[in-house]
Amino acid sequence: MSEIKTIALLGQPNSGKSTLFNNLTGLHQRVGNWPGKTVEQAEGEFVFDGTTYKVIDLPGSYGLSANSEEEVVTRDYIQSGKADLVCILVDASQLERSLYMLADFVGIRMPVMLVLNMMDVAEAAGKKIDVAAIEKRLGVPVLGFSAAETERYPEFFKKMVSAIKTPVCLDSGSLREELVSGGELGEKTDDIISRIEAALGDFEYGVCEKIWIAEKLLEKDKLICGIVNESLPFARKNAIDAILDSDEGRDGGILTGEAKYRWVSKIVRESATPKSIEKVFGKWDRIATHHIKGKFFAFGIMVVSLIACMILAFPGMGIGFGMQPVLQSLVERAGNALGVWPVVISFINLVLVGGTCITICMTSFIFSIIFVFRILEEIGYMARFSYAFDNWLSRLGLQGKAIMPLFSGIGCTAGAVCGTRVLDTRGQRLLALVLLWAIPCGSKVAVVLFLASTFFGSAAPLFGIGYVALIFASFYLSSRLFGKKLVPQNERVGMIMELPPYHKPHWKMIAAMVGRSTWGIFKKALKMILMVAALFWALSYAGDGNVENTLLYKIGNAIEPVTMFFGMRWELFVSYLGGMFSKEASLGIMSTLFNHTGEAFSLVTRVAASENLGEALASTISKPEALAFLFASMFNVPCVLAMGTTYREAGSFKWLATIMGYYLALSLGLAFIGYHIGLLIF
Amino acid sequence: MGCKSFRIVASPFGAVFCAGFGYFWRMKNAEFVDRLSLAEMGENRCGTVAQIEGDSRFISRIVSIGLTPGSAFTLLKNDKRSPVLVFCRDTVIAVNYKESSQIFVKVES
Repeated sequence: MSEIKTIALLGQPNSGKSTLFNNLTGLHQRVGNWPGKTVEQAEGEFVFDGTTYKVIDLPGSYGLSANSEEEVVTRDYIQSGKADLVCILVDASQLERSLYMLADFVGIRMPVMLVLNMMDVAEAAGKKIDVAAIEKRLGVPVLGFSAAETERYPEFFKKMVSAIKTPVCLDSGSLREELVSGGELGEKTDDIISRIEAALGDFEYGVCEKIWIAEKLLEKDKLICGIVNESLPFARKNAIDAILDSDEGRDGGILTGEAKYRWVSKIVRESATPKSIEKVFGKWDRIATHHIKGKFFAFGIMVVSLIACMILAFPGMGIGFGMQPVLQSLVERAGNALGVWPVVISFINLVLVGGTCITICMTSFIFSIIFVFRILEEIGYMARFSYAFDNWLSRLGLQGKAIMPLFSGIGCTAGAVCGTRVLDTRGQRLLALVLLWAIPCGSKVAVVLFLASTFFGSAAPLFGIGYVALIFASFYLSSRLFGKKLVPQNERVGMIMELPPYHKPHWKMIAAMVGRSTWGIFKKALKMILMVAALFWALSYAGDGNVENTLLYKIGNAIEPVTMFFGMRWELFVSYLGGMFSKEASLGIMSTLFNHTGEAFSLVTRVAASENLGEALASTISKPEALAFLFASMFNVPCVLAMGTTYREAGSFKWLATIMGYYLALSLGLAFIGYHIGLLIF
Repeated sequence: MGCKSFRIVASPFGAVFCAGFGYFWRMKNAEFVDRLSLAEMGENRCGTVAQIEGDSRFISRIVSIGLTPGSAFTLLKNDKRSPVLVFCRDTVIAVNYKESSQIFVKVES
């Protein structure tokens, strides 16, 4: 009785697919990878009226070509015929362009429903769309919709149910004439497609009709050419090759593209009024895209965004930092009253309570970074941001869009790692990840500045400038080392991108979406952090409170010869290792080891509470060692959450290990150099 | 007739022949010699796409974003280093400067 129906969401980037997907599936969604690929797969389900519907959110692509892994994955899924209904989402405020996906779908024999999304934006821009006329013309169900407006969902469900009950495919026969004929090029296109269809004979390929195959052959689609090559007899293959090599055949991609847009234009002209004359490219856009002003403007917006991010993270931080002392003293009193072993009290306080509190802090940062940047993207500013920095980033081998995750790394590295998803290819994402680890998040900046001012007092600002210079230098280095392999020259395509119109963000919906994914991150992070915290605790626990009895002390002393090679005494080296967990842990370790506070270290130590730490350090550590430690801290592994999210985004342990190894080498190498320079200077 | 006189008679013919040939060749290929690319077009002018050159990958990308022969557009911004901005089919599109020199246009006067 309750069978499962599968719905596939197809559409161009920025068409609102993920909004629809998230609203339909809520928490019942799984994000993983398409089997054997590095493309993200989002799958979820919902129940309506007794029936369970499985929803697949296909990757955003402009059409059904095979130019990128995303498009190949989308095509394969459509061709597999697994979906009971394909919902094609188009941006109603940019119909003339977004209907291209529909035009590329003609010739695929699968039940469809066309969803004209973002009707609210179109209406606000003064565009009137006659949905019924479009429905009549196409012969398939068409719905005017706005995925962000929950009141419109009942209509969606109604239409969806009827579309599944009486499935309708796009009729390529009746559409064909309009599609390929008309206009100067029309006759040429019609002729050449007919000839290819004739040569194909009775060739069939699943749900793909001959007209679609012919179009793809003309477009030099590698996958279809391969399939046809394998399946057709020699004679017919040669005939097709001859057609494709002819003068008209060689312009094939242009002929089909032109034909599809002609068809789309006709539909739009007949059923929609054009956009009312509005400032398409107004004053703000001129500033935002200016090659100099645009960068300053972007900088301003980013500063505001990071401040907004801090404000948003404040409650979470307050809870995390605030709860800890309260809970810890509670546990201690209760434990003592109940006669629980001190070991257990220590474990509960430092691992369970401390670990949970720091996870709450870190996760609230991740939430606010992702939220702020999703809002910027929704408003439409991100495209302008990408445009303004395109020339800088292409020198590193990245596309303009990469500026987004790179800049958000200043707020929180782990959140920025999640943001690398916006990049088109896996190679770019990996390169962005490598660069991202060099960008210090707020915590790292705080620690580095603390160290610089403790040891070098008024020269600290110099270090700030030097740090920035070193970061850019590391970008250049990383780009040279990894660039050739990750983003080979032939894949480095120049920017071809739309700048979507600005529109109001749907705050609540984005907050809900980001909240859901952050909750998932929190759960995974908690597990990981508790495990590592337990490890640290075991190494640093001493029953009598004497730090010299801890495993950490013993191991540290033993490895001191090695650590001194890099110019750091074992206490500093261990603090450096602790910094891989979190910068707060690094401070906590230093506090224990240098202040001899007598108790096992705490994972959550605020920089502000470290004035005496500063004095203790300044009196104990020599300047060359300080320099070494400073350099090592600058390029240290960001934090345990960054490692976790990097593993998730990179999809392979090998890459996580590579990036970690690279930064370990870089930080220790710089420490070595710093120490010896320090010896010379001081 | 001696070689010398042959040369005196032949050279003006040769000159006229070359001139004529050159003229006809130029006429025939006028559209290709005088064509203007998007990269060279001035800001705030309107035009239509005349011809696109490039590999199938480029053509696929440029076509799927809406720039096809015959499409009318307005050039919004061209500062010869950032990507060129055009308004076509209700959308603002950015095309990197290098590849915009592969898109040939007819400018409306």
